[in-house]
Amino acid sequence: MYKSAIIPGKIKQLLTVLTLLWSVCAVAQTNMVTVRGIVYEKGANTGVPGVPILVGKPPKGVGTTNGDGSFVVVVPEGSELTFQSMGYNPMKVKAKPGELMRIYLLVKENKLNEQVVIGYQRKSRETVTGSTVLISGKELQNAPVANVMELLQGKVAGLNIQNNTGAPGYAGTIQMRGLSTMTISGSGDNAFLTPTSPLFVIDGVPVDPNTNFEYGFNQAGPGLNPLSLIPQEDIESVQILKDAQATALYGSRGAYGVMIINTKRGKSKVPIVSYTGNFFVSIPPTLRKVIGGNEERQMRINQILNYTDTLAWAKELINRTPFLADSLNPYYNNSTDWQGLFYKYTYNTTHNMSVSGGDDRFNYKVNLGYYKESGILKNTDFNRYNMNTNMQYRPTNRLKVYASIQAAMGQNSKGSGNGITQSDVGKAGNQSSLLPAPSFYSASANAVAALRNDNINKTANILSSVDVDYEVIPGLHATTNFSYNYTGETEDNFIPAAINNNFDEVTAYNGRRHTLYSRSGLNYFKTLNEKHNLSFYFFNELRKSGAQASKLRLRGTASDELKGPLGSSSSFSSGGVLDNAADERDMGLAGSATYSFMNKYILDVSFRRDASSKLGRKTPFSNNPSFGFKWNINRENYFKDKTWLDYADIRLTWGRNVVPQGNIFYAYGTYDDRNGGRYNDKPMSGIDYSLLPNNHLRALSTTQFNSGIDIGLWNGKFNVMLDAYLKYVDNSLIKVDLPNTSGFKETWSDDAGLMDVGFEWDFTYRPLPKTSKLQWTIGFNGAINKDYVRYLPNGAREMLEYDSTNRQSILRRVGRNTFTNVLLNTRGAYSTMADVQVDPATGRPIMVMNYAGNAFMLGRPGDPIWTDLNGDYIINELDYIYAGNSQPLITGGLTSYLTYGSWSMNITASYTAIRSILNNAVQYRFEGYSNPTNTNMALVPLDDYIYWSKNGDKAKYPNPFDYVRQGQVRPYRVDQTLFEEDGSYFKIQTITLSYTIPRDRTIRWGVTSCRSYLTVTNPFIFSKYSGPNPEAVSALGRDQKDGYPVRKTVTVGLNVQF
Amino acid sequence: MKKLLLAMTTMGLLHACVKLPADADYLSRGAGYTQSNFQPILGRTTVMPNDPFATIFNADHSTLPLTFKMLSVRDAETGDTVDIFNKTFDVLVWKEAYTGLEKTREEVEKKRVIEKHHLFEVREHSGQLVFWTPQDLQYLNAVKVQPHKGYKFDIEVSNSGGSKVIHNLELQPLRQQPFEPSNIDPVTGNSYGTLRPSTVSGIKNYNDDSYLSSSDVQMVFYKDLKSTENTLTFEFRDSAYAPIDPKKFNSTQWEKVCHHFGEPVFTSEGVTYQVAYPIPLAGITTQYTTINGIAAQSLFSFNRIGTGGIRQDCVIGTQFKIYEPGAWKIIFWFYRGNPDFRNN
Repeated sequence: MYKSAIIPGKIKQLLTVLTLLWSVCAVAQTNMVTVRGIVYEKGANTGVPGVPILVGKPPKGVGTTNGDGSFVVVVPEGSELTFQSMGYNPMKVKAKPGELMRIYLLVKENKLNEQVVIGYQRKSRETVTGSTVLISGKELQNAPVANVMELLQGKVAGLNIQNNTGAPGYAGTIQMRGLSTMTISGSGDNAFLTPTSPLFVIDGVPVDPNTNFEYGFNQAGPGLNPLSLIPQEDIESVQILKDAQATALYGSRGAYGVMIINTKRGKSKVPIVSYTGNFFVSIPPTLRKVIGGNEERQMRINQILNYTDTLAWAKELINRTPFLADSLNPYYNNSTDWQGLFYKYTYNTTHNMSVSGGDDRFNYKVNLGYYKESGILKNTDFNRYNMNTNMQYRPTNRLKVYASIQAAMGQNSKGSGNGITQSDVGKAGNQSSLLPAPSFYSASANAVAALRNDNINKTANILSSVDVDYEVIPGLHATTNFSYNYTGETEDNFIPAAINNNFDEVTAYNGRRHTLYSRSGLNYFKTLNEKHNLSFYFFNELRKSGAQASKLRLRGTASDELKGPLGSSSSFSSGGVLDNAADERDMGLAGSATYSFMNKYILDVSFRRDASSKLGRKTPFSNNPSFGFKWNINRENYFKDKTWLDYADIRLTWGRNVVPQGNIFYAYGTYDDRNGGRYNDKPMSGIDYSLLPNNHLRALSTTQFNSGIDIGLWNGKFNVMLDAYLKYVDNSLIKVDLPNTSGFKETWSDDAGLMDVGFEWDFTYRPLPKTSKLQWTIGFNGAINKDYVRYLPNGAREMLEYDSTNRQSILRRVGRNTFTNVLLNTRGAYSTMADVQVDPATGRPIMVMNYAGNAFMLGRPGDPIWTDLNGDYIINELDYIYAGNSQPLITGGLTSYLTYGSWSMNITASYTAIRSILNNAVQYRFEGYSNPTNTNMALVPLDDYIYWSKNGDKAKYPNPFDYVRQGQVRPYRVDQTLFEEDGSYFKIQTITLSYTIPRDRTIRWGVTSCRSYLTVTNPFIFSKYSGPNPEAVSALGRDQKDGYPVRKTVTVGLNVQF
Repeated sequence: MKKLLLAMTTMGLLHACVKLPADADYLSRGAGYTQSNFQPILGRTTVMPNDPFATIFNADHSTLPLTFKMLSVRDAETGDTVDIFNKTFDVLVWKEAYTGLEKTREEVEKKRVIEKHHLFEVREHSGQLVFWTPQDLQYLNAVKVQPHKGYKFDIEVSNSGGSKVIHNLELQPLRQQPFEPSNIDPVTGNSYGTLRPSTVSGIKNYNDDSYLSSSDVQMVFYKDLKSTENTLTFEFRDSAYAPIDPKKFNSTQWEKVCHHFGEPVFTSEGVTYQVAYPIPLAGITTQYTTINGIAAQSLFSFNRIGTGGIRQDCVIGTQFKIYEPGAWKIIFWFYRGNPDFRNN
């Protein structure tokens, strides 16, 4: 058969080529036009750099925007430009040549498209089974803070941040999902909860912020929080990993949760220079109220006249107390505001400059920062200088090298306190107002100490890291990360002789810490049939860290002007290495596998095995599995054409994480040389009998179940994220006394566990349509967390942490919240003698054991009514009740973000509810009434308190004036529920008003973006608490009299981009 | 949609199933009485322990408060349950605290009311033991006193962590001793010796230059058994047992002799006060008691110009307690020599 063709094949080919050529010509023949414009982010009104611009079908890249968001492209006339960038909704616009196009890109509100980092791998949120929250760095720029955690408060459900100290450069407490420890140290006001800040991973390098705080309030050295060394301007995003699956691969120290901080990187071909400057005023908050001047004198004199046994003795007492009797003496005729002496307005600035640029192949960033804050308390300050650089180099598509160096120096002064508390200010602030204000000489040595003490601290930190990623074969990556983190700390302190018993004192502290960290692994990703995605990741982690510190002290230099040389007088100097040296090794082996079916069903499994050198000799290893499942419901066919549903998913995870705890001496004990003693002419050595080493010390572990739902509705209008979790904390440390027959005094037991049950919510609502010029975003998040003790050492049901200082003991009891205050229960004051309880058998009124415990006092009107728990008509140590819980039940925050054109207003608020605070500070000032002749006691004004003053008064507070009684019954003792108050509060954190100057007006100065803002921080706090600030209390809920109050600030800021 | 609902319900259920550890008290195995033998004296309401510093129960770190319950009181010799401890009786119970400042009898009586109580009770949460005095003392005759072996009883101690029973505690009551100091042997009931006032000072013997001491004076407690009123009379007798006019103790602070109501009634034989029993009413310090408040203290004094023209303070008095109501007399008998009231 002859097969003929109408057009022979070869000709057909030729024709096709011709046609193609022709059509290309036709395209070329269409009019090409040049289009100029700027791409803005809607709301922020800042240019968006690096936005790819696509034209035609199929879309073809014709260019990207410059560093300031401007673009110039040449496109066919009448074509449609598509602007498509990560994190923004794509936008299509008809090319309009000849005019400056303004493109406003909408930020994508679909949270599932956020890029998150899980287990050192970047993933789309849609494929993540764990519970995570991403906070953009933009939300952290409006108020200058030394420690960026201050701004994260109330932004993440389940992350409880309490800014409980205002000391610049120090951090408040951070707790992820309730309590993670049962370990307390110290007593009284200084009872100290072992900090359990999440692990921070800064650009892939783990940094543990808890290391500096192992020794409670009485630590030596600068004590700066490592997070205070990160400038907030350099933060691109903060990501919070909450559940055990998300944190699984951070295993060896991820039990307290993980926070990932990514710093900015270059992403614009045209370099961007950006400057941020802030000027802010720190304002002291309301201080504690005291009575001053003549009123104070009259109060004291009346007290003596009315409540002394005899009038003659009362007169004698007044006459021999010159500061009461000698009212014409200028020395005693004052009304000094002692607290006011220490606090002042301060004026501070920050400057930050960053240069960044580059593309996918090569990019770089340099950030230079300066932060200066003088504390509202005189003689305290914090300055930070930092230079952070990073760069990424990708010579081929298969090799990626990322390197960063972050160098920071923090310089701070703690005054005479230890940074977190200021005992001299606390004491001096409680002086009688009748004494003169200090000059070089002062009626209060503490005051001079606080003001004249010279204290300089320097903390230098270098964090360098290299990250290499090599694609061996398609899908298989070999990665390695190596980092070195070094911190050097020095403290120089000088106390003048005039305030230190005529001996001036120089102390010098020198400490250093380092961490060497390496992580190498293999990562394989494979897609089968475009439906099944598989990925595997195996890596090992090695970490070596060490620390050592030494201290020198010299008493008595030649004069106050000579602050050295150290070592000149051997008899008065002492020093040496401190006992907190550390040399630790950690290692971990981990593997994880992920399977996803069309991104509809996702399954994560991981396992890691960790070891730490500071754990018990027999138990260094721990095994940490995790499991996660996610069901993206919106990918089901049923929802395919439901436009109202953006996304919906259900997450279920389970996993375990550890964190090594204590130090090496807990597990191995301490050996000494028996004071150089010798036996058979051999040096002796032996174990220190005060602590029995625990061979079986394990790492603290948390096991978490988490289930969550994420729903997004109506095109970003409404987003919900709900999580319920169950967190088991095991192997928490508790010090246990040993029977003396054991030969040892005590040991650290890790046989204690607790659990947290909680529920978190996070709602975002945008009531106005996207097209509206006015945009409003409201966020409401919070968490309810309840903790229960599960078991205690030796099978105990209860353990009392006896407080030898204040008798505010803390109870841990199985089945109850972890920390319960144990106090006498006060229910008002006895109104009349008829109200005083009486022993029915003996007719004796109720008896109260005095504070010293050596005598009983009969109850009488005006005394506090303490519950006689055991009904023996005696108030003594058997009558303490289990009172409130020092840990908050509910925490969360509210945000409102309003934009109108170039204007925006941002309000953030946070709240904490249902928590008991012990108001020890007010108790201390009530005790001022206990001795009217004592000048070291300030008096609290009584107008705000309902107190007993005469027979028949129904009062909450006992008789404050009867100072003789204070020495007996001590009605205003601290160990009672009278001073236990509800510490719930609602706080407006920041109010920011910002304005972006239109580009047209600034471009002629070469400025592509200019934003100015005014921010007020901590303007209002709403609380029933009677003290000044329910947040500025210790983690165990004690309002310390010498705490550092939290300042308010007013900031004027400017952000300019070139 | 159904799938979604199902999934949400499952999640809810998962969390409902969280097992919380039980919030139970701790009751130590070592909790128990530190004293197993109790010997209250009948006729006075006794709280054991009486000393507020003392404890008779060691909770051994158990969660407080504990709940105590008396189980069976049984005869120590026969093991039979004892009826009298199962019944309740009228007893005087304080409702308001005694202060020592009450001006009238009514004021005191208003503070005490009659309640029904078992004779022997354990206080519900403190574990203290109380032996009550019934209004009608006749009932006490049914209580077997030493040298009888007395009674045995068990006490159940409990809190929400469990309970334990402390077995075979012993109750061995002592016979009534209505007053103190007492010269009645608590076990046998025999009287022995004589009572002496606790304070005799500066009183010169009438007949020579020696001074009287406590051993030169006898003290007698006497109650008219038929009496119904509550009075206390102090009498002074000379060596011939002839009455001495109390007015001779002319520097006595008559108001402070004892807690009384109304004016004291003087006769040539003695001075009588309207009082409330027991004396002292409560174990607290008042102007009528010793400093520790445990016993009443009555002092009588006069002064005279002694040798060399020195004014001497002469005091006689005693510390005492009286538990039974009635018309009581305390007689100071200068049986070895009369006091000299004359000036030198």
